[in-house]
Amino acid sequence: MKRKVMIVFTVVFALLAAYALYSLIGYTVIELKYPVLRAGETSAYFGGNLIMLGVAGGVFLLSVSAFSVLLYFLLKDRRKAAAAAEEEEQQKAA
Amino acid sequence: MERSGKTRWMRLCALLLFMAFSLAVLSSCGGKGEARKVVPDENAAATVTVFASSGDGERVFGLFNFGHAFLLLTNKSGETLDLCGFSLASGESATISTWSLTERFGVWFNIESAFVKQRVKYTDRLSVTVPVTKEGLAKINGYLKEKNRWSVTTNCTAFTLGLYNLLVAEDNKIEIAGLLTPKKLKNEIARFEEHREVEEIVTEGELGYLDKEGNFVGGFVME
Repeated sequence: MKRKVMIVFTVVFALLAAYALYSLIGYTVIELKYPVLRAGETSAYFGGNLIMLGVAGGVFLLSVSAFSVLLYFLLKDRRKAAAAAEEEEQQKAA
Repeated sequence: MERSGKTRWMRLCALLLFMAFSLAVLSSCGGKGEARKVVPDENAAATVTVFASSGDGERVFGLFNFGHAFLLLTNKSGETLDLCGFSLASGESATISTWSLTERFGVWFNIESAFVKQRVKYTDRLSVTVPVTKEGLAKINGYLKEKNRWSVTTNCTAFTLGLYNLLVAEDNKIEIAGLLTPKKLKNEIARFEEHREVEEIVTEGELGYLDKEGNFVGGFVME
């Protein structure tokens, strides 16, 4: 049960990271296409896309971190289970 | 034991789905009320046109675009209006709203007209023009200085709606509950029989903003 929940959350965070990466690319492209207001040497950039870029960046970092941690524990559990099975087989053979 | 655990999870998921659905329904509410008519005023010293675009025409798949709301103020007083240092001569118009720009999170003049002139923007905009009362016009500078900021809760719609309600007579006011978004304002504008789709926006005067002290800083151009 615990393993199933972990797998579900790993998939959820992987999807979230993928969406955040898509958003990062999308908002960057939009911001690059946006105009800039200039007065002499002063330049004013539209902040709406920059705010969304920050949010997408934050979500991307958090979801990738959570995904990595969950994947690490899943693989660790799998290795443990494999080692336990191997040991059991060796004991049976002996 | 295992079965009751699963049932609890399913109930929790169903509850979350129901809450998400309710939230979505509530946020899309508004603007479904009775039709309204603009109450005219022969002696109006100015007119204000309230615009709202929900961003539908510019949305990129999967990305957020909340749209924009702004006002077009047209001076008909026969005298030049001084809006915190921004001069609006009689017969001239200016767009006003709040923006989150790196130079200033606050009130900006004539950005929207420059956008419409230079780019394909606000293609789904709705607008309605309403007369401005003399009492309202006398309070405008105080409002501009007081609301000279931008945040998620004090956004373009909150600023636009607040200024609109300050300028117009009681019968023409617009009330919106909850978090203010351009889409909700657009729905309210659609209730007016006189509302117009993709109305032309022509302004005069400089593009600029109000600084922290509430003084106009102009001379900007859109590149």
